[in-house]
Order: sequence, then C-alpha cells, then structure tokens
Amino acid sequence: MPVSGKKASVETVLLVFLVFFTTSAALFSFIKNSDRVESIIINAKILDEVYDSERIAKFYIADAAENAIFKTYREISGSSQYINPPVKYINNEDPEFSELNSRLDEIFKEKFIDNFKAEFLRYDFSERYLKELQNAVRDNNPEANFDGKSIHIIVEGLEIEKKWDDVEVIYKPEISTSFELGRYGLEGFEDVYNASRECKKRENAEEIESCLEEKLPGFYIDAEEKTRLNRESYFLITLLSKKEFFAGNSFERIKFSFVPA
Amino acid sequence: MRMFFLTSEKMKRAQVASTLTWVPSLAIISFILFALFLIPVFILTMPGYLPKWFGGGFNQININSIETSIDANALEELIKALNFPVHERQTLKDKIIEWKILDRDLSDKELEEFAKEALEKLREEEKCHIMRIGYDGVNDEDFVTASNGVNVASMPLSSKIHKVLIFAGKEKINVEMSVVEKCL
Repeated sequence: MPVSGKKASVETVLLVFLVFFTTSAALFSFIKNSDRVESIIINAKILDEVYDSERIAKFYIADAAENAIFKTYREISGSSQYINPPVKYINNEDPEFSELNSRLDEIFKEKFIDNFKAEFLRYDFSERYLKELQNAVRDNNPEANFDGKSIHIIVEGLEIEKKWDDVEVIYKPEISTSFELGRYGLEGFEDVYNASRECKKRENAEEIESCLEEKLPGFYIDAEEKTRLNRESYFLITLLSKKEFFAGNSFERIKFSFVPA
Repeated sequence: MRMFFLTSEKMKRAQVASTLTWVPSLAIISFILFALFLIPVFILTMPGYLPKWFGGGFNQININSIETSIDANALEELIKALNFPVHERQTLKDKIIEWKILDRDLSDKELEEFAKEALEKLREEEKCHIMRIGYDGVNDEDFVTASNGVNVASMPLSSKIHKVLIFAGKEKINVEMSVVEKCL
C-alpha cells in the first residue's frame, strides 16, 4: 500500500498541475481578448462622413425610386392594367373603367421592383460602397410594399467603411423609406376610379372636367363626348399629368384615357 | 503497449479502485479550479474593476476635438435643395437635367434663378450657401453658380465642398455646394 500509493499520487499531482496550467492559460487569453473597445477619434467628422455616405446612398435610392414610379405608373396606365380583366373596349378602342383591378397592388409592386433595379443599376458609380450596394440590389430583390397610394421599400446591403489612422468605422444601415405617389403629382388608381364614378353623372364635358380637376389635382383633364356604334353617347376621359418626368432622353408626361362605367 | 497491458494485468485490486476513484476526483478538482478562477475573473472584468494594463477599463471612445461645423448638414441641405419644386411641379434637379441634356432649352440665367429660389428656402441667419452646377474642372466656363445672401462668383477655398452627381441618361452632372458663415 505505501509503495503503490506514492506512485499514484505523483501522476495525479502532475495531472492536476497540467489542468491548472491549461485553465490559467485559457483564462488569461479570455481576459486579454475580451471585446473591450477603446479608440481615440481625433476628429469627430469621421462620423459625419459616414452619415454623408448614407445620405448619398439614400439620394440615389430616392432618385431611382422616382424614375421607377414614373415608369411603373406609365406601364400600368398605358396598358389599362388598372382595370379588372377582361377589359371591355368601347368602339374597339376606348377602355371602360368598370372595376379596379383586384391585383393592382401586387402588379404595381412587381413592376416597381423590376424598374427600380433597372434604374439603380444604370448609375455609373465610382465609390466602392455604392458599387457594392448595386451588387446587393442586383443579387437580392429589395423588399417593397404598395398600398395604392405609396410604396414602401427596404434596401439592404449598404456597408460603409471609413478609416481614420487605426480606427475603422463600419456602418451597415438598412434603408427603409416610403414614396407617396402624391409627392410626384400622381394620384392612386383607386382615387381615379372613385373620382370617375362620382363625376360621370355630370351633364356635359365641361362639368365632368371641372369635377375631376377638383378631385385629381395632379392631372389636366379632358372629357370628350363620343358616340357608340349604337348611337349612344359616352364620355372619354383623358388624364395628363401636370408633372413631367425625365424618361432617358426627354421629359414626358403620363397620359391615359378611359370611359367611366 | 504490451508493457501497459502486462502491468494492467498485474495491477492489484486496490490499485484499480484507487485509479477509478481519481476519475470523478479529477472532474471535481477541475470544477473547483474553474470556479476558483471564473468567479474572481467575472468580478474583475466588471467595468472599472480591473486595471487598464491588464485589459480592464470601460469601453471608451475619446473624441479629442469636437468641431461644431456650420456645414454639418450641408449635404442633406444640398439634397433638399435639389428636390425643392421650383417651377410647375418641376424640382431643381429636373431643371438641372433640362439645362444640361435638352440642348440648353433653359438658359444659364434661368437655371441660376431657379437655383437661387431653392437656396433661399435653405437660408438661415448667419448661414449662406453657394451652389455650382455642372462644374467638371475641365470646361472652366461651362457651369452655373448661384448663391443666397453671398455676393461671390466662386466657391470659397476655406469651405468644404459637398458634391452630388446627377445621372441623366448617359450624362453625369456635377452639383456642388458650400456653406459660408459670412452673409452679405
């Protein structure tokens, strides 16, 4: 017992010391590598520069969104997609605004995202963070939601890095912003539908025009009295946006016509 | 290896029991050692407890000189000015595109007036703005300068120049703005 007991205790003591050593080393490493932050920023303007970069990114997102809203509105109004299908054409040319398309918000959203991506990707940026944002927009569709009057968009992938001596600031904001159609002088299609239904009861073209101009201030209105093949008269309403939009080479207005049902 | 098994075979019953006793003992000792170290370490790493040379101290960012600059929001103001409606729902940005792209349908003087109108909306006491549109550093005369409350024809050298590029078709239009303290 005394001889074998001595041999066992030496091994055990050795093992205990090894554990002690390993534990101490691990704890020392833990202390030294903790997430302590200590920096000296010589000039607080580094943060201004970071926020300025975010403002620039937001400016281009807003610019692309404005162009995308114009294109989307023009596509939908030009192809009468705001009317619930099947679209009935009077005299084979004038679409009857019988009912608002039940899928309009979804259609607007899908087209807006495609147009937004196309617009944003055409910018010839030189800054790295904006190029990376373009890549993020190209690879991942931005989230968007349209409620009939405004479109809300969330763009992810912006990463701004600024270095100042040994300090590096990394800022990854998520850009979430809304754009109202009214801001661009456009009216929601539901408002156009409601206004056309209210004003169609007026007796003549002038009264219809003044009624619609009051309800749709973003558009110039023209009401033209026409005759069906069966000699019955109807009014063709034409809306022309007061605001002009830049369409790549020239400024254009949005123009579309319908017959109130 | 063979030696180990030979010795194991020769191990007495008492020795087997002793070895088996040390297995849970090792776990207990390790636990005690961890507890002995972790508790003091958690106390020591509380903010301000451990000396700085040993990795302690609060998280801190020291800002040596805070310069309250008048142009802290200048870029935001420039973007605001570009989005101000200046004529029949057209923004200053639209007018700049019209001036640059559409074969000068809009004259330099007209654009200057529109820019002045937008800058006037930014005007604050003791804070004026100078805007330079279309300056590319090459065509020295092919740009428009506008200002509010400042009677200068060029950008002041002492002020920071804030810049935005407007992409219109294949063209890039440079728009710069500076903020100055001395209004005339």
